[in-house]
Amino acid sequence: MTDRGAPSPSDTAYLAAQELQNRFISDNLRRIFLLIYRIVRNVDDAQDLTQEAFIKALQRQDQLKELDKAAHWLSRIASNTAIDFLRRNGKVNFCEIDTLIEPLSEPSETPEQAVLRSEHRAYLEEGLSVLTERERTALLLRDVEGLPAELVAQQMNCSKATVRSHIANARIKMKRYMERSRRTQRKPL
Amino acid sequence: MKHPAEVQLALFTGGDLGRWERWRVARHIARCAPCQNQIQALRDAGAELRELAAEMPELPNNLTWNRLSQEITGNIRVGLAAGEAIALFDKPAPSKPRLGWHAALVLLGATAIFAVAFWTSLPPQQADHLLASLKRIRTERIGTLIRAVPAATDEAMVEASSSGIEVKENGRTLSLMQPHSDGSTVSVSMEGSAGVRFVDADTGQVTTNKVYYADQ
Amino acid sequence: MRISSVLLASVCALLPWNGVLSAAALPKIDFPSDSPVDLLAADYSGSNETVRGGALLLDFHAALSLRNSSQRKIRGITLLVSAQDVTPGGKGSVTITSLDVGPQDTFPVRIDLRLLRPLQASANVPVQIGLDGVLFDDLSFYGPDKLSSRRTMTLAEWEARRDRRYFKSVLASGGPERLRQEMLESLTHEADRPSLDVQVVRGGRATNFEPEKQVKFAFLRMPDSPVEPVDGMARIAGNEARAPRLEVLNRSDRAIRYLEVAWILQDRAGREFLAGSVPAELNLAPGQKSRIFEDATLKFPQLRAQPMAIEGMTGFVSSVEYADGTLWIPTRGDLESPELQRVVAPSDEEQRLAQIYRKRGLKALIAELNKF
Repeated sequence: MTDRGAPSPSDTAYLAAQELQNRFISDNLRRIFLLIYRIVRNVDDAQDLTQEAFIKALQRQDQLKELDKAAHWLSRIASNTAIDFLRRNGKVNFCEIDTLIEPLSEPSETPEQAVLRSEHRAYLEEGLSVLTERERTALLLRDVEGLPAELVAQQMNCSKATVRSHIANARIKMKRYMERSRRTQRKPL
Repeated sequence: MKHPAEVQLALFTGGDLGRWERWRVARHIARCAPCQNQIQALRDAGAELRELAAEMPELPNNLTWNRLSQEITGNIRVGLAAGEAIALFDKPAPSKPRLGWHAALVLLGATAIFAVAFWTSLPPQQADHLLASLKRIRTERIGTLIRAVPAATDEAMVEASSSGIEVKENGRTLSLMQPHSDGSTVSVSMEGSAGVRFVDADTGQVTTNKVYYADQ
Repeated sequence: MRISSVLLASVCALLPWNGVLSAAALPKIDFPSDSPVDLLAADYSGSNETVRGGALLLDFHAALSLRNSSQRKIRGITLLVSAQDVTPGGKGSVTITSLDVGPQDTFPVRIDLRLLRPLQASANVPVQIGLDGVLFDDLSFYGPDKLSSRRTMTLAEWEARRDRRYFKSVLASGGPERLRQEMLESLTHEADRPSLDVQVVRGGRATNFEPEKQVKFAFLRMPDSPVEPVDGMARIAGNEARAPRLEVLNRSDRAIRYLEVAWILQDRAGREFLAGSVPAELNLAPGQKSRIFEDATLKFPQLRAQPMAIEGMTGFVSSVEYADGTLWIPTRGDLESPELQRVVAPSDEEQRLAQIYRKRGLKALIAELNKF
């Protein structure tokens, strides 16, 4: 067995940089994946976009001014990536305002959904699916990521007024959905 | 007493009203039980949302977050390495943006944006090669088994595909399946055997499944 | 040899819309009493038996825990999997190579199997699992070797040592950065290779009526190979390659008892695939020529939804076993020709190392290389 000998300075530095990178990924991966998934609602797409977001961020490390802002900066890149994706593929116009009028009938339910409804998770997923893409995106960025409304408007490239509209409608729809579900006793214990 | 519009209550809940409006609504709900209930319902919905958003969704094909995160991390690593490899081909040009993320963006194929200028500065075979490879890595998923009912046949046959290998005999089959598809190699030997080699994602072991047919 | 059969309790998962695995469907696992591996535990959860059409489909999953009860390190193991009453002639095997199992260490083996058989199932246990071979660090071997697993695993071990030596030298001369580049190349090659769905039909019966043509092999020669392919041809019709025939010359000074020739097919569009291999057990004295041919047909159903039309074939010697049991495998230099790079898969060990790099990073890979 040949011995490599003492590591050279460049080797050590290189490995240390790799370690930092690995830590950055493992610390933020789950959170970023969830953020992207909630926006695009598809696991395969979320996987691809998560990869893309991290690669973008790690390639642009020199643009990161303050290390403690790294998590937020990464979130911005991630939500941008997801929103761009929706724009290109879903033909979503993020700046049109939806009405609050909801479809008269409930969307029909498959047997699997009926079984899954007994799970808390699926019940809430269904609630989110009642929202339009722009409402959901605005709601996630504002109420889950905690971005101030101005920044949400920046991300979605709309006016602040439009974004406030999306957020308000989204919150109302979610509330209505929960009330309706409780009434028909679908909410699990 | 005039109640605030539902939209106003919704905005109030998240602290999204202007100062003056916020004050008016606060003053109203201090004395209005129905509106207080509305606010509470909106708050509850918000709490549920945050709870949900922190949960991992149901992943398809028996995937676990453990496996998925490993796959994602691996692809990030490869994507970064590939981006740097491509950057090596670029002639340094201070005015151009760093090639790295452009390359990764393009190569991941998730976007249709092609930086034309970028492509022309790369040896074409290299670019195509890496692009195709990364796409392949990106699309490798956990294999699902889709079984077709075998045709009744008298001949003995050995079959290999990326989802499994099987030996068929008199309408009966013995199949060996790959539990996880992490880049598998299919091999066939003319003596009547078919094999699939793969790295088992859980154990990290290299496993080769083979099926044979030998006359009794 | 006394055979003791080991039947361990199983945990069967209850799936809401499938039948449960009945006790009668549990496998029979037979390791001889002097076997160097012991079966510690077996978990069959997820297995079930359902009726599909007019047949019984057994979906069998086994997670076995084995222990090395010998004094030597284990490098490879091959289990034999059979279903005597279902496919008497058909068998399966599960081989794990590039193992590093010390004495008294345990390791897992997964078997995922499907059996399709008529509804009137016999009362016998449908699945039998046995041991075909165990390869140790010093290249000694234990087992009945009915499936030629000794040769297969020894070849894999030789390739593993060749490739580990190579990567260690890359690391020593070029540092982690060079190693990383090599890994990246390996991964991209791996992703690049087209995968092919293939059938081998015994008896060489033609199943299409396309006009047949005789196509001669071209050969990729390796300068240090002890066997030189001299001549070869097969009958090609559309997407079938029938009855390949080869003539080979032993140009070494030692007797050869086995060799394998791999062949690469080219289709009409100019794409290339590693199609299969022609193994031959033979006694080839130094300087002697011999003919080998197979009575079989390779069928290629489709590739990316396009029918495949075979245009040409290229062969190369992929391994040789001398009469004294030693082996010859191509060197990495031999395999570096662009044509082979495109088509030939990396060794088991290279694939394992590349996955370690991909999943756990460069440091983990370096640690793994330093283990040997």
